[in-house]
Amino acid sequence: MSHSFRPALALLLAACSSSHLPPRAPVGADWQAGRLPASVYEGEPRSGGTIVVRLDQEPPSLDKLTDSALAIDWLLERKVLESMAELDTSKHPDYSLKPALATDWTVSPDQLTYTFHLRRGVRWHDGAPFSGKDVVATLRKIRDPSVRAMHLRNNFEDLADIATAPGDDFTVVARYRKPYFLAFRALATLSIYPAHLLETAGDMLHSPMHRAPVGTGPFRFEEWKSGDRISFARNEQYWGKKAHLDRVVYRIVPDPAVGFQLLKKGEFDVYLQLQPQQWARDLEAAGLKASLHRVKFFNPNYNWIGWNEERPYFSDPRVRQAMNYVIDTEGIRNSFLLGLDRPTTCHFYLDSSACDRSLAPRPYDPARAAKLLNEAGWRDHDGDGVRDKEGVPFRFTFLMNADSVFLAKLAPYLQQELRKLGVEMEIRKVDWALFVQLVGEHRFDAMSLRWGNSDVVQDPYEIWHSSQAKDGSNFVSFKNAQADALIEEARATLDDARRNELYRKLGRLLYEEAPYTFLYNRPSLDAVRIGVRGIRPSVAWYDMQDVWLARQ
Amino acid sequence: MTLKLARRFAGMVPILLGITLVAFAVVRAAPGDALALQGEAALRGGGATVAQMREYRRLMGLDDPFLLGYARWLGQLIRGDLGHSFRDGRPVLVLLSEALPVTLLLALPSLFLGYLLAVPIGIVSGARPGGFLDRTLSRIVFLLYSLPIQWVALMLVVAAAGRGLPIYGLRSEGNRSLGDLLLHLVLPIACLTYGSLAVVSRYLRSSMVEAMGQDYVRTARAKGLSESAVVLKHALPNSLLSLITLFGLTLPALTSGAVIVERIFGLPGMGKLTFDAVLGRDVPVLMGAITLAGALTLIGILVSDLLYAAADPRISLRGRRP
Repeated sequence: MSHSFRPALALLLAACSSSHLPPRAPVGADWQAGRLPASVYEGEPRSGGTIVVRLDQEPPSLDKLTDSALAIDWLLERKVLESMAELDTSKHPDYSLKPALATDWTVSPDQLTYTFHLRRGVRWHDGAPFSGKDVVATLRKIRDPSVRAMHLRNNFEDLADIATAPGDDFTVVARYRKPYFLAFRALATLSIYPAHLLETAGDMLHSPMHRAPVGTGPFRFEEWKSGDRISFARNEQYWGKKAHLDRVVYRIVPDPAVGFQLLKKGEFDVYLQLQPQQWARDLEAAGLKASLHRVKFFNPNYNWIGWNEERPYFSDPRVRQAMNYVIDTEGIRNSFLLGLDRPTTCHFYLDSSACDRSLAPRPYDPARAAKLLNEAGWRDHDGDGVRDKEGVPFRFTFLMNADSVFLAKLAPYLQQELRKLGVEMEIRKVDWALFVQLVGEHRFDAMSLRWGNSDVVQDPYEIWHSSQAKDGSNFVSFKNAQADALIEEARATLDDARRNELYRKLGRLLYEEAPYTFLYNRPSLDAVRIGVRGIRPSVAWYDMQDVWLARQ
Repeated sequence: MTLKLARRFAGMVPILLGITLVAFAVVRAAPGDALALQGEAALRGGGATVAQMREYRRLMGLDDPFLLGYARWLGQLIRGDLGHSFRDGRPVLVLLSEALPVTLLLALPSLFLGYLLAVPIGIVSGARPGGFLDRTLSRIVFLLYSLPIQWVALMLVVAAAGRGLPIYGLRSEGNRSLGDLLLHLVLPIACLTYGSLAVVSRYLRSSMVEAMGQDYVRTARAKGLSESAVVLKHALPNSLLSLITLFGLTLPALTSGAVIVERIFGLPGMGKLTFDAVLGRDVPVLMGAITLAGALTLIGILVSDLLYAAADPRISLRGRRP
């Protein structure tokens, strides 16, 4: 069942059982499930107050044009910067678009021309008026090769041109060269920057906007004290429904143990990214159950182990399947992850209909793994205890980021399981910067990573299409003509249901080919102080616009 | 004297250049990609990840030949510009000027406090080596020395959290008073100080022990001086020279910051700045921090030489002619 409907259902059930009592979910059930109780959405919103949020890492900048770190999206989207349309966070799990800076739009029958009608009377945080010129200037900046905007530029490769309509600055027309299902969504949800400031912003890196964004949203940037806090204040001139909160302050506290002590002292209204142990046990042990709600929410992401198909050991799908059979997904989930993560076998957002939920993770079955390895020709021919094939011993290196707590547990476990099977695995821990380089250059046998997305809709092209093995994110060099055909067909399929059907087919193919061992969909584990109202987790993180503070 | 001093300063310039050249070579040769500071998104190019990395490197000037890169950096330095951070585009000078005061705010009181406590311990221990006080104090300072700082810091945080002592940052929200600032400094300074007690006190102790065996101490005792006069007036002044050496060596370490303490107590100083720059392969920031540390090391050595000259008439800046 979908997440955001649960409070509504609980409310409904309570209302049925006793009509005169205030509707309340059973005490403890919400805590157990990590969902916000219905009471969070009750009451008349009150204006005023400051909310203090714990942030676990400082973003590199507050500039979406030059930096692709997800934390920037979380801090800015729908809060400071706005786009022509935005994800409707009440529509879980599909998150259809709703109007924002555009009031409405039309799509031509050939799906190549998009016309956006923009809202009038919107002002930038510095008072300048907003118009279609800003949209056009933002696109121009993204396509400027001297700007570090590669991550956005790729989305607009097939955009032929974009301009305001003649004599009408409030109509923007974009023309594409070929139909692409993400083209509209990418353009509609692009954060818009002010044209009058972009003119003098150069490569953005040395512009004030790099750290002090100017947008049209319900909150305006206030201050960034490096290593300490980033704060935003209510935009009193906001065109839409004004925010209730006066200010939102993000305090940067990287150390989880210190963060938890500050939480105990009551210094946070919202605490992001608790450690699994803290969320599952410490909160209750510290007596915080009376003052906090626990929040567990699954964003689109998954952990995986990738097997480099350019290596002799992993070119055979039977070997890759065998790797799946030696990983006790359920056991690991319960012991290392405290049962919080969801097992997954799907590349897409697990709650969406792009996933075939009937594909269960392969069970722990070493005998089956041994049989598959034998079939693939990996036997211990020379009797040295290690399987080999055509003179190549099955000895490979598992590359991992030294920071990962989960992999530090998983890797030795995997090493031990493989040794029993006659396969030698070495573990190589490197720091993140080196990891990025080695993976980018395909210099690994096996490695583990997590893919995360800020939108539920995504194109698997960059990760699974064979053409992306060269310069793209297909680091394991998965090359499959059938998969290529499905991915290409889906790119030109604008009908959601039809496209999701293609993606489920792709999912079944990936399941059989096993280029990755899909592991888990990781939840965000957060805590919200009782008294914070109107807050709602979504794939787009927390919206702050409807949040208010109940009187203490 | 002034001329000699000027010469010493001039002699430091080539050494500093050598330091920066070696540092630049190491920083540029380090494997890893500056794109790392984008997090997991670094590997998601929307279709052109590796091409994106190449373009990024070109924009950041990382593709330039090594010597050209160094010459460019040096040219900037001469104009008083340390370049801009890859991470947030801000001038490195601004970043250093934000981080250095925080580090000094921790390091100077900690240095002062460390000597204030360690010198008496060293004197007492050295005056009667092997005695009850010596054994007790030695055990205590070694026990402190062996405690891992991360553990101590977290224990202090846990202990202080329930007692109203601030545990994070430099100031409470909206409080600008000096008292509030000092309260915030209590725990980090305690953390930075306890370990240095052993080092300083043991140094002083061993030179005290050596001095106490000298002829002039026997003479002083033979004159019938009280034991405290023997220790404080005769043995101690001669032992202090070793502390000057130590002081010269610790001066640069003070400004390089303390990564763990800064992280746990949320004090963004030089340690955090340098550590983040290493992880993110932020070449300009790293070079700025290394140049600063190199210059301070050289100054530290010079200062301790000057202190020697002041403390000991046998040593002078002039040196001996061959």
